[in-house]
Amino acid sequence: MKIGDKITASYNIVAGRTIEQEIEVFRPINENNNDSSNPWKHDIREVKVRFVVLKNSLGKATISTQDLKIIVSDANERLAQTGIRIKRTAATAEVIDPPTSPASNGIPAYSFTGTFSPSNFPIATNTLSSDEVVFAKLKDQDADSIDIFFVDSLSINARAVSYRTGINGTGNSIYNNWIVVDTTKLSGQEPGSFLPHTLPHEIMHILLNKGHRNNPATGVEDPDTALFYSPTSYSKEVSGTKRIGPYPDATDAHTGEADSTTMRANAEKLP
Amino acid sequence: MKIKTFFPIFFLIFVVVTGFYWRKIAIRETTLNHLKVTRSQDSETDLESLSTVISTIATPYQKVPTTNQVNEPLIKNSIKNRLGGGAYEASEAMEKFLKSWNPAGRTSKEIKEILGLPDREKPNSLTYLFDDGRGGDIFVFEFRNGICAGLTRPPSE
Repeated sequence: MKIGDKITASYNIVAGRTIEQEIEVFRPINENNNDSSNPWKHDIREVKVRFVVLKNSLGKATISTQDLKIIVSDANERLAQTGIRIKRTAATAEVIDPPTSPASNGIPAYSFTGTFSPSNFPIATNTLSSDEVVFAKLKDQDADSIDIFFVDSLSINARAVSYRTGINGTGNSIYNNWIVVDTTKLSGQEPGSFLPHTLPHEIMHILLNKGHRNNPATGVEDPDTALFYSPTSYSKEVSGTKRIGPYPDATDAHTGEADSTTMRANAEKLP
Repeated sequence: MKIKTFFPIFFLIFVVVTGFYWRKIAIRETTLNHLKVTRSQDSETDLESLSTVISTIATPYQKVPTTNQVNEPLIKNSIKNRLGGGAYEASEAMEKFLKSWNPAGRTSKEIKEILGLPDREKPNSLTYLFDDGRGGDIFVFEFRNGICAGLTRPPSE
């Protein structure tokens, strides 16, 4: 069962007479409702995502088509609670060679090593890493699609890095709304499985345009079952990091209260 | 009774008593072997700075002396701005501090006195987050029987 599927409910009115009613999982995509107090009226929203897979030093894709399918399916499963689903900009991921560029005008030659180095956040023009400058140029021209790059590894101890608009201090919108994923850290607990929450967690950063909320001093803190909690859990266990706010047990600061509606509002028109 | 009769009984008592004693030691040493700094399965970068901790943590249950006492009063202050813009500097200070300070064998109360209040506290762990909003460094002090028995650094997201 997924967003857009239909459920047929049958009612036995009197003996031998039934009425059938077809209900769609979330309201049709051509409707428009984001009322927080009536989530059952919410229409389906789609977030455009472009997947770019870098080849490694052996010339092999850092993640296979089949594995990416599992990761996207897990992400859709998690985002479904908000009525959002991923709309891939292409049926299959673009698999590209590691970018290189020759030296010119005093700028040294560049060759991607397989390990992506992010600069400190918020990013600024004078502190951007070479990787950030080059990868931002690999993004598509669509300001409302999220570009997700799968690389061998990250230079920091993180599963992924999300470049949301709020951390872009360069003044150049080319650095908005993209994600870099470390494929060496994506393996799940079972052989052949993947961390199910990393991708939707990163997409949350983009759609909420927010960093983590984990400040107990102010009470602004996501519960440890929240998808926005960092780090996310390794599996889809019941107590895992799966929920998107509002949470029934929200902290006194009402953390995450507007998450679903904010994400929905930004899904098709990125912040 | 003759000594011939007594000897097997005496020998049996000797074996039982010494066997119990040696078993006790073996259990303690087995436990000790489990006490070490562990890294989460996919945390595999830049832990060089923790090598001191990892190499010296093999003798837990007894407090490992701090080799650089000077840092202790300062660290709490250095890491207090670890959530937000100061995360990177605070994380560097923490890394540096852990080169000369070993948490093994300390109680949760002792660690909190030195590092300040954690960002997450559970019965068997204290977590200090260094997060500039994208993630950052996570230090989890793990406790067994009330004593620090490990330090993990899960990757952030």
